[in-house]
Amino acid sequence: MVESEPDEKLLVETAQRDPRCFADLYRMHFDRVYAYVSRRVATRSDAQDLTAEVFQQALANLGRFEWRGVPFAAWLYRIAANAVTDHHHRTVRDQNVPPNPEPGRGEHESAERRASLYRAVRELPADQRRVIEMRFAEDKSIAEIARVLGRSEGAVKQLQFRALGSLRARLDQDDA
Amino acid sequence: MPERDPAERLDELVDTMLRGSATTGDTAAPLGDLLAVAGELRGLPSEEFRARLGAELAKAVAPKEADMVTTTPLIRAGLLAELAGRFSGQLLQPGDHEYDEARRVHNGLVDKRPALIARCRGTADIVEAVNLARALRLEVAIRGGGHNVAGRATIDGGLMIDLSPMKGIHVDLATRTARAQGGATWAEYNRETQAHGLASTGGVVSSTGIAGLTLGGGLGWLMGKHGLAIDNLLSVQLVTADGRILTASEREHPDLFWGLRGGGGNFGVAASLAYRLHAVGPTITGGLVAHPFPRARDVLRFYRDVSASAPDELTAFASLLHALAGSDTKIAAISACHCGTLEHGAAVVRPIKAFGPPVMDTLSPKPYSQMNSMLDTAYPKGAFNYWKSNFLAALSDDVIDTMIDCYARCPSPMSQLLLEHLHGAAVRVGASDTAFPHRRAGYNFLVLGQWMDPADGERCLAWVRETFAAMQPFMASGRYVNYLGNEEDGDPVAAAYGSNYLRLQQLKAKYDPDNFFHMNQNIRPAR
Repeated sequence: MVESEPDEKLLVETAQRDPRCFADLYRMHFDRVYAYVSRRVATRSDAQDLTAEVFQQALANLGRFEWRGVPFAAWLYRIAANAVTDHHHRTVRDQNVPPNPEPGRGEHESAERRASLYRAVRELPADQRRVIEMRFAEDKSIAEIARVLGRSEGAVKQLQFRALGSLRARLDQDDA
Repeated sequence: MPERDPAERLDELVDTMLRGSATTGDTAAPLGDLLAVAGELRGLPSEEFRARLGAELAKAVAPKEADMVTTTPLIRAGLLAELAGRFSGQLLQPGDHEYDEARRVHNGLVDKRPALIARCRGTADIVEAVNLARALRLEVAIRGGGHNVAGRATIDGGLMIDLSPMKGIHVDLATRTARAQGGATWAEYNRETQAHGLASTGGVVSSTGIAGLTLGGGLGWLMGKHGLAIDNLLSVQLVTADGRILTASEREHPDLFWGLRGGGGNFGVAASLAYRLHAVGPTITGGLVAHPFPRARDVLRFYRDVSASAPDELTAFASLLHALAGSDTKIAAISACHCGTLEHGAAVVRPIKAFGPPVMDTLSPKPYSQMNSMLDTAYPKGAFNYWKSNFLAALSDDVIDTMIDCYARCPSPMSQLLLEHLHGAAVRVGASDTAFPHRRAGYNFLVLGQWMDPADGERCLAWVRETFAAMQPFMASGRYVNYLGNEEDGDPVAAAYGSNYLRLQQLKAKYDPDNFFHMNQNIRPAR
């Protein structure tokens, strides 16, 4: 379930008056949009392109968003769902792609869970965070990470182990 | 059979998963639980992408804000002609003879095309330019020396307020002060002040403008003895966002004066700056000693000892660099400047000259102005620059080893790793006495990516990023605002100002509530 963030209404209205303040909305919602989109396309490059498209559309249409108690995130999810459908239409022209259903609550929940995990990664100690980013975001091998960080492979594996343990605990805490 | 290391086993499972194969063997809890987390992390967005998209969106907003579609014809239609009648400097638009030269800044990576360049000859010109930009809702960038590595001196589609014609410098011997206009460089400032055997702390590359370097803090060769550039600043004549001319000093607008000492170009255009002068030289003891790269570990450890016990008069930097631009020979060097008596200088630098022995040694008595231009040729205008910088928690053996490992992979002979030592007078100022909060003795670390051939860009950028990432475990929280680039993780401006940030935001809300001056390392006005 998508909870409305505190002061979100104020942030949206501020950004509607001064588009430069869209940066605050971007920072707040980047993770959930990326988490949602990335599980629906095949490659990292597609996930990046579509995430960019979602925020560009949101920025362009921000003036049309009306605050009626529906969270801003729900509006973004709707844009994201349409962008994913359009993407599949573009890339799989010879297949009959069914119209995109309204994004379901379950889909939102799993995206929210992953987004929360992405945020937790940023809160890890610096060395653990870099290991996780290089391993999962930059697709580096343990040997490459060890070289970049100037640590042994064993030390990098320990950092990865500890980081995943911390993230697991964080997820359990969120679930509780 | 010994039990498998769980970290080792987990990595095998993660590796298998990331390669898209089914995992085999024991994936029960607790490893199974951790593997599930790893599964959720597949496709984790990169911080680089998050920052880049954020920057692209910010850029997309900028032209909309400036409303260029309507303003450009307005400029051509009449307002420009009206302004040109009063303006004593030059107004340059795309297509004008000197436009292309005027729009260039030091960093060759920055290639922006302002809608208008206002080359000001005095404070009144600055006021006119600010008022024009406000009337037309044009975004504004301020160019002093044009050295800002992030390219904040210029702007696409906006108004560049170019102070480079404003080079007036007046030395007052009676009060031992100097007032210089905002377009002066340190070479020009040192030339005038050294004519009287006087100096203030200034940048170590003499083509750097005095205004930008000072407003961000101002590290330099004299900082151990005389503090940072801002510690010698006495007043600033400032043109604010509403076109007023204010003087900020300890007595007039002291709150603004506090913010100007570190807060960068956030509060207005510095038309002129007044500094306290000190007797320096004209002959000081300075130069560089270089050692073969295989001895880098010993050199950097020696540098740590020398700098930690240095008297105030000695400011020393260490660098890993190449012997000559274009050569393959990597070296480890200590650059130092002793601004006290020549006798004391000779005694202080003797151990530095004796260590090794070095393969090159220029550490000797020389004019201070020569010391201040010693590094100029290593930083040519138009070279591509990409930097990342952070203060270090400590200069440990691990830091030294990591630096050496990283520099061994340096792809460009013009790139360097640099350590700048802050001590003495520079750290005897309280962290909240000025907006510049980094007042603890220690080292600033700079990865200085620099290259001339565009084809080298990708690997140089990658090297800078990888080196900075490798150094992350050793970083303190503080960052020097003058070295911040465009693609920074997290909130670099908040990191640059630390506990002073909130006060700066409140000051910004007072003097520039609409964030008119935002083409800088931007302090967002408090709401």
